Amino acid sequence: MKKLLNTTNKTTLFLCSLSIAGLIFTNTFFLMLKNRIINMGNVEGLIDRFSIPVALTYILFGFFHLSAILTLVLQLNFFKRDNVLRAFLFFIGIISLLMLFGDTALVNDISKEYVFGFPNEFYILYFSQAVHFLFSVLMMILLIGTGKALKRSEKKVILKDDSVFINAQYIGILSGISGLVLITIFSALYPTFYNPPVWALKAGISVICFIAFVPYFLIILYWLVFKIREKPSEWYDEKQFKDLAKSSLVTLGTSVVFLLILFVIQFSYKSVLILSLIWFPLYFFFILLLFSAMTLFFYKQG
Amino acid sequence: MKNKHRLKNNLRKCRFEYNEISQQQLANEVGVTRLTIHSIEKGKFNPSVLLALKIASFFKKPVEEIFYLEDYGLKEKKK
Repeated sequence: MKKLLNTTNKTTLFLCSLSIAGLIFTNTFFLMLKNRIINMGNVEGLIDRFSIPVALTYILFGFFHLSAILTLVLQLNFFKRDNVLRAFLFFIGIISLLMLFGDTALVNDISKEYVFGFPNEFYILYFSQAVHFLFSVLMMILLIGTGKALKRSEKKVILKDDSVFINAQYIGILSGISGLVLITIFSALYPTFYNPPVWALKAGISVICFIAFVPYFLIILYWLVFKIREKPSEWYDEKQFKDLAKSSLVTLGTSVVFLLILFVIQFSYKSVLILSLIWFPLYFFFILLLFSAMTLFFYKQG
Repeated sequence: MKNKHRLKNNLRKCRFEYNEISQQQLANEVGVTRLTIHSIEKGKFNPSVLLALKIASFFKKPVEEIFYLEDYGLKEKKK
């Protein structure tokens, strides 16, 4: 286990360094492309010249992300201690991986739509690049830190493990916050677009929900893989059961208040039609955030 | 008059006397997480009867030698 983790740590660190260099390259290309579009230069020539190197760089990004996520899972299994940075990296790593596919679609759109004016897709692309960059830099910090810790640490025997339980709560908090914030921003910006179709709102909300929920779904799936061999009564120890019960009670009470507020808004202001489309995602991510935060609070409190 | 009680324990002392075993080792023996043992020692979490008996059995001591009730105040019963 230690040997495997050591190998993946080193491989990921190598790929991470290459990825940071690759990000500098792709961002330089996007900047050149943006300037060509603004100055109405030869865009097609630039795309033809750089399309293969950019595609190869994106394949490298894909390998780096997969290797990084594998390393994070192995670290989670080896160190048996909760680490906020590791939980955050697991969350942002999954989002960054999903955004790699989004980048491909965005660049494809930009290469077709630039003739109609400056494409707004550039702003999403830059946001996506910032997420990739943040993930790569933080991953490098974690790998350097854990590389040293790995040399001097031995695997501890822990029969009842709580590291995945705690990390799942951290990721639940991050998923909840990102879902709530992104849905709110998207819903607020949506009416400002020129004559926006309803399907665009539905599609946007669906994509946001998918991206925000996938990291939590994956950590729960990972936890279930280990727990499926045990009886459901042994999934948690008695303190965890008690903490989950307390957080469920708080969540239940607060969810009624939250739904009441949504109902009053919808009842009083009939023009808030958008609420009829987003009430469930808002409710879902609010509950996820509250439940995870409360469980973590009660568990850490003692 | 009504007495108020709080569950106290000698878990830390018992661990010390039992070859200074760690919270994690005890947690492994009785099938809970390390944080649960830590919370019991701090008096923040009251274990179930089953867990208290498991701990007592591990230390080969009667349960009341490890866990005991402490009065922490008297309260006037309102009529």
